[in-house]
Amino acid sequence: MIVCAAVVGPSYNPLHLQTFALDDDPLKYHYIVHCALDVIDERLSPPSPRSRGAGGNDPCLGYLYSTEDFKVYGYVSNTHVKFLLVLDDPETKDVRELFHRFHSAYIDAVSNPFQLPGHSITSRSFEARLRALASS
Amino acid sequence: MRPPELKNWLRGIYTPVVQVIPTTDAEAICLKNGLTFAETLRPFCNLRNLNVPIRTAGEHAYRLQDFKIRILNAKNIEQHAVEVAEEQLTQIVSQAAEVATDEGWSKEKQIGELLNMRRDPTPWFTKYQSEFLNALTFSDHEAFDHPVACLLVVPSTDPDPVKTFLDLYSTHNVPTLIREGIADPQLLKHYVLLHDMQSDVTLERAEQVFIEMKSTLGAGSCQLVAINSRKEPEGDSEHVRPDLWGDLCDPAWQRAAHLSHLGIDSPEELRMGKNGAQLTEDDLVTLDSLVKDFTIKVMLPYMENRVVSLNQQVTDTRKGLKNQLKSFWGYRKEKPKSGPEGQDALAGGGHYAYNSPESQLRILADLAFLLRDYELALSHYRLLAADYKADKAWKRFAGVQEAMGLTLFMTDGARREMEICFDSAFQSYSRCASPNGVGQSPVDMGMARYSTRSMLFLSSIFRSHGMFRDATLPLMRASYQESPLRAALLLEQSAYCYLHSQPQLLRKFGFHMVLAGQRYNSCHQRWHAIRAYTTVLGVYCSKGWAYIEEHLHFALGRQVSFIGDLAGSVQYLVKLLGACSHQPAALQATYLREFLYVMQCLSEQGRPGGDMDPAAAAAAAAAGAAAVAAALPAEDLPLPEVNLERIHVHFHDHRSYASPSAVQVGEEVWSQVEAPVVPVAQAGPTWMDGNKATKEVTNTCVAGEEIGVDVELCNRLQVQIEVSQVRLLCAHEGRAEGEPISDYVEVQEEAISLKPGESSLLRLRLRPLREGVLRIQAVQWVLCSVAPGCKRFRQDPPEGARPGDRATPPHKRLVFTVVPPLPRVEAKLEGLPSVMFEGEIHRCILELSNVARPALQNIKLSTTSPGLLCGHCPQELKGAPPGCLEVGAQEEVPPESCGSLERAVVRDPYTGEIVPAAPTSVPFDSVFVFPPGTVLEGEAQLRWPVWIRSGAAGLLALNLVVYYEPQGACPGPIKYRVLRMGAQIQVNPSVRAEAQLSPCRGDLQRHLLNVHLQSLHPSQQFRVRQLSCLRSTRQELWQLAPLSSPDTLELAPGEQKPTPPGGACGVPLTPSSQSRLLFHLTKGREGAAAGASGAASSLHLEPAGSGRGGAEDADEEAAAAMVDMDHWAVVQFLRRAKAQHLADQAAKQRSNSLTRRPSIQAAGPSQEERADREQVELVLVWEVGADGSAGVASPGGERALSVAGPARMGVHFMHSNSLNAEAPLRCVLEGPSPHRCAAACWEARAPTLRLRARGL
Repeated sequence: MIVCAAVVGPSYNPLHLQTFALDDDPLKYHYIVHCALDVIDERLSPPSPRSRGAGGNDPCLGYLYSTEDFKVYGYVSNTHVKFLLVLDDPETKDVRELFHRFHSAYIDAVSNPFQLPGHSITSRSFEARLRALASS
Repeated sequence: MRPPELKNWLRGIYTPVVQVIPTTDAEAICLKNGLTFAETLRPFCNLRNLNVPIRTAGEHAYRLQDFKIRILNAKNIEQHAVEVAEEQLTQIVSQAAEVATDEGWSKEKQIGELLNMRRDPTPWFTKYQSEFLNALTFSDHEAFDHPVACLLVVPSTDPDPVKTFLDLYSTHNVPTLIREGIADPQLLKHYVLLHDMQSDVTLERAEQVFIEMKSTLGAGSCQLVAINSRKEPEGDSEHVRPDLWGDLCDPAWQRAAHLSHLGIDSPEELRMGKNGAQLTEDDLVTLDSLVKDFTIKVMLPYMENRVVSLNQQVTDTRKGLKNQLKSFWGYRKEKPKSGPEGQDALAGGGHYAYNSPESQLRILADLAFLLRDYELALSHYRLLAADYKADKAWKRFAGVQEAMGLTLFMTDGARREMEICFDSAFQSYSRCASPNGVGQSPVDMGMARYSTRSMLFLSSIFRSHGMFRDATLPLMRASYQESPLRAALLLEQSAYCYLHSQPQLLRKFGFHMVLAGQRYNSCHQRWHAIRAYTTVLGVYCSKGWAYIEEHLHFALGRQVSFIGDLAGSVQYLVKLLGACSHQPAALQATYLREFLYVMQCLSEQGRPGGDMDPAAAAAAAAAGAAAVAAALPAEDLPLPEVNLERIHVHFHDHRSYASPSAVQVGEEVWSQVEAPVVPVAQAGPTWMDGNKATKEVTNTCVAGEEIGVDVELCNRLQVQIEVSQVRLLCAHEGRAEGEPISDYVEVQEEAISLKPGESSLLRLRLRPLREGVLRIQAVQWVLCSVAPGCKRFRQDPPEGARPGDRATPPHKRLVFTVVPPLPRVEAKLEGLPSVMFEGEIHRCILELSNVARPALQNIKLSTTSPGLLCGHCPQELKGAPPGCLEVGAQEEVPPESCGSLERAVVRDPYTGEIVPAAPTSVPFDSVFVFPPGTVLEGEAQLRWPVWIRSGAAGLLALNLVVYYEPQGACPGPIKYRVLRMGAQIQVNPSVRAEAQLSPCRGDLQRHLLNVHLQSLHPSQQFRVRQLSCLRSTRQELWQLAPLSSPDTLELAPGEQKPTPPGGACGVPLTPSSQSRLLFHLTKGREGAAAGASGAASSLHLEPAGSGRGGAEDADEEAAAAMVDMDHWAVVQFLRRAKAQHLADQAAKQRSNSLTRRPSIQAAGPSQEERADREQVELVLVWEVGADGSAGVASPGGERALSVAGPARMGVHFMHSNSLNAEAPLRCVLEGPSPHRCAAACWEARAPTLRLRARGL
C-alpha cells in the first residue's frame, strides 16, 4: 500500500507531500523522501554508459532504496519534477502505472492558472486524486 | 585506514596472553613504583625488529618481524560483566563530548565545509572501538585470549623460593577460564626471581638463590630480575624520563581487584601516579630483555611446538580418507559431555571442555592465527565450522565464521566469501541474542555485542578498500538491535561513510546523522545529539524542507537549553516561531511556550531567589534584560509581524483635522475649500533649482502636539498572543549626550491581544516636547511580557526613488521638523443633526477651542457647501430654533461685533493677482471673516452660530475650513494654520412646492397664485406655516392675500382631514398627500397688508376651521410668529438659492443652445434676459412638530423616517415668472361681473396670440 506520495521540484524543493497512513508523523516521510533524492540525483546526474542504453529516457526510475519498513520508488518528468511513492508492502506492484496516474494528476493541478509555478501545491482535488491513487 | 594498516591493527588486537602470578611480597616491591608487576613489563611487550623464524605445519619456515604479547594479571583474565563494560564505554563517549565541544565540533557546518572535511570527524570512535573489542575478550567460545604462558614472580627475600614457586601456581591463582575447564590449564611456566636493590638482601645473595632455583626448575625457564636500583632520593635525576606507562596501566578497578586478591591495601604510590620512580635506565633494560628473552626464546618455540603437536593430533583424527569417510557417514565422537540440550545449548553453543576435539581444533586454529599462519588457521576453521554447525552450537559457529572472515581478509582471500562469513557470523550471533527470533525482544545485550563486532570488522574492511557505500550496510544492520548509544555511534559512522562515498550522498548523510542524533538524545548524550544535529543543519536548512528544518530547530532548541546554553537555545527556538504556520495550533502553542520559557529563564538568570533590596533587584533585572538582548536581538523576534507597507502617520502641521472622517476627504477637495483663505503659497523648488531637491523631506509638526503612527501588527500563528508595551522608538537630533529622551519626547505605550490569525491596526502615539528634528525609527514591543521585539522602519525612500521625491508621501514620512508651540484650534459643531429634511434650516453651534497656550487671531471660515452658513453675530445663538428666526427675536447688534462674508477670490499662484472667477467656482460668498479683533487666548473657547440648510434629498457633505494665525510674530515656518472639518448629513425628502401665477380675471393689478404642495415624505406630517413674497429686483413688493377660505385645501382621496394639534399653527400636510393653496397677489400698496416687512410680504397660514384664517385676523401674536425674512440666515440662504436657480437656468440654457437651431435663437430676446426681467420670488415655510406627537404617524404606524425631538423648520423658495414679463399685449374689458368670464378667456389666449405673431 502507498503510505506517502511526494512531488519534489526541479531544485529539490518539496512541492507536495501527502501521507496516507493514519495518525502518522509526516516528519518521517519528509526525511525518507529527502533521502531518496540522493538516489534520484545519482541516477540523473552524469549520463553514465549504463543509462545511455535502452530505457535511458524512461521517466520511471523504479525502485530507489528501502528503509527498515518502506520501499521508495521514483519517477522524473521532463521538467525535472520528481515524483516519489513510499510503499510499505514487500511485493512490488506495477509502479509504472501508478506513476502515470500520479503524473497526470500533477499536470492537472499545475494547469490551474492560480497555481504559482515552483510553489507548493495545495489543491484539494489533487489531494483527493492522490488519495484515490493510494487506495486503489 | 588502508588494508595493510587494518591488518596491522588486527594483529595488534589478536596477541597471545601471558598471565602473571606474583607473590604478595613481589608485588609490594613493584608497587614502590606505583605499578603492578604486569604493568611494569607492559611497555616492553611490543617487540620489533625480531626476525624470528617460525615453522609450524608447513614445509617452510617464515619469519616474524614483529610480535606483541599481552601481559595480564590472573585476576584480570576474565570477561567483564556487561554492565561494567557498558559503563566504561559510556564514559568514553561522555568524555569525548567534552573534547568535541572544546574543539568546536558542534558548530553549524555549511555543505562545502562538510564535503571538504579533512580530519576525522569522530576521533573518539577509534578509542571506543578498541575498548569495545577489549570488552569482548576472554569469551568462552574463542581461544584467542586463553593464556599461553604464565610468569611466576617471587622476590629474592623469600626464604624458600623454589617451594614458593611450586606453590604459587594453584587453583586459587588461575583465571576463571582455566578453572571452568574452558582453557587448557597446562601452561608454559616461567619463573622470575625479583630482586629489590633497595632491600637488605644483597644482589649476591639473590644470585645465589637464582642458581639454586635454576638447578631445581630448569635453566631455561628461570630468570633473575633486579629492579629499584635508584639510590639517590627522588627528583635528583638530571632529566625527567617520559612516562612510559601512561595509557598502558590497568583501570583502577581492575588493579583494585588484583591487589585485593593478593591481600594488599591500595598503597600511597598508586595514588600518587609517579610511575617507575625507583627504576633507573639499567632496570628498564633488564625488564626489556626479560620480556624479549621470554618471548623469543621461550614462548614462541613453545607455541610452535604446540601447533605442531595439535596439528598432528588433528591430522590423525580428522584428516585422511578414513577420517573423512567417517565424518561422511555421520560417525562422530559422542555429543558434548556436559552440553545440555535445548535452549542453553543453542544460546551458549553448548559446553565444550578444553580437551574436547572441537576445542582442541579451535585452540590450534587460534594459535596458528596468533602465529600468523593464516592458511593453517583457515583450513582448521573450515573444519571446525562444519562441526559446530552439525552440533547447532551457533555461538561457537558464529565465532568460527568471524575468525574465518578475518583470516580471509588477512590472506586477501575472496572478498565475497569473506562477506558471507561475516554475514553468517552476524546472523548466528543475532540468533543467539534473540531467542524469540531476530528482531524480537528480549535481546541479550551481551550476545548482541558480538554480532555488532562482526559487523564492525566487515565495515572496517570495506572502508579500508574504499567501499564506503558497502560499509554502511553492516553498520546499519548492527545498529538495529544495539543499545541506543552504540546504535547512535554506528549510525554516525554510517553517515560519514555516505559522506565519503563517491558520489557523495549528502542527503543520506543527513538522514543517518539525524537518526544518530535521535539515538544520542534518547540515551542522554546531549552534547553528541547537538553535534549531530548542528552538523546537518547545512544539509536541510533554507531548501524548503520546512518540516525537517523545524524538527531540527526544535530538537536543538531543547537540547541546547538542557545543557544550560539558554542563549544558544533561543537562537534555534526563535526560528520556529517565524516558520511554523503550517503546523497545527497545539504544536505552535508548544513552540511558543518553549520559547517563552527559555526567554523567561534567560531573563531570570543570575537572579537569586528570595527577597532582594530594590537596587539589587533592579540590577538583576537589567542584567537579565541584557542577557536577553544578547541572546536574541529584538529585531530578530518574528512575532507579531509588522507590516511596513501599511504605516500611516497622523500629525498636524499647518493643517489639522477635526474628525477622522475629515481625513478621508481628499486633499484636492480641501485645497479647493481653503484656497480663498490661505495665503498664496510660495512655489516649491523646480527642476532648475538643481540639487536642492535632494535635501531630505521632512514633515513639520508642532512641539507639544501628538503624532500618531498607525502600525499593523499581524499574528500568523493559530495561538493567541499578548503584545504589551508597544511603543515607538525615536531619536531627537537636538538631544545632548546624557539627557534622557523622555525630556524631548513623550511616548505612549499600548497593549494589544492578537487572536489567532488576526491582524490589527494599532495607533501608537508620541508627543515631541522640544523643537528639533525627530526621527521615528522603530516600533518596539514585548511579546507575552517576556520577549522584547523591535521592527525598524524603512528610513530610506523606496528603491529607485530619489530622496526627497514625491515617492514618499507625507503620511509615510517618519522624520519630523518640530517647530515651537503654536495655537491649535479644535472645533466641533454642536447640535449637528444626522438626519434633516429637504430645505430644513438648522442652527448649530460652532465651538472653537484653542487647546494650546499661544493665542490666535484672524479667524476665517471657508466652505464650498452652499448649505453651510456662518452666523452673523453671536447673538444669533439666543433662543431655540425655529423661534429665533421669527420676527422680533433678533436684537440690534453693533456692527463691529459682527463678522462679514466675502466672496472667494482666486489668486494666481505666481503673481498673486486676482483672476476672474471660473465658472466652476463657488457662486456665493463662501468666506466668513470673524469680527476684527477676535482673539482666542490660549485654552479659551469661542462659540459661534452656524446655519445649515439642507439642499436636495440625499447625502449632504459639509466641508468647512477654519483658518487662523498665531498672534504676534511667528518665527517658525508655519505662519497660519487651518482646521478642516467635515460632516455628512442624511437629507430626507420633505415638501415639493410649485407656484403658478395666472392673471386675475377681474383686476389688472392682481394675480392669482396657485401653490401646489406635495408631501414627499412617507410618514412625516408637515405643516405649512407661512408664505412670503419677496421684494422683486425692481423693488416692487407684492401683497399676498388668501383667495378664499381654507377649505379649498384638497385632501387626498380616502384620507381623513387631520386635526391640527392644539397650539400648533400652519396648514397640515399629511404624508404622501397633495394640496393646493390659492392666493391673490396684488402689486404695490406698500405696507397695506399685515405681515409686510422691509423685504417681503408674508402671510401666516392657519389650519382650516380654526377660525383664525387669513392675514386680516392676524393679531400681534400671529405677527410675532412670522419668520423674519430679513433674518441674516434667511437672507443669505435666499441669496444662495437664487444664485443656484440662476446657475441652473444658465446651465439649462447652455444645454438647450447646443440642440437648438441658431435661427430661432436669434429671433427673440433670450430666455435669460427675460428671466431677469421680472420674477416673483416666493418663500414657503413649513414646520415639523415639536416632538413625536406633532409629527403625525402614517396610517401604517411607520415612524422610521419621522423625526422626533424639537420643532424643525424648513424654507422653500419658489420662482415664478411674473405675468408682466410674459404678456406683451393685454386687453382688458371693463364690465359687469357676468362678463368676467369672457375677459378671462381673453387673458388666457394672450400667449397664443403672441406666439402666432412671432411666427409671422
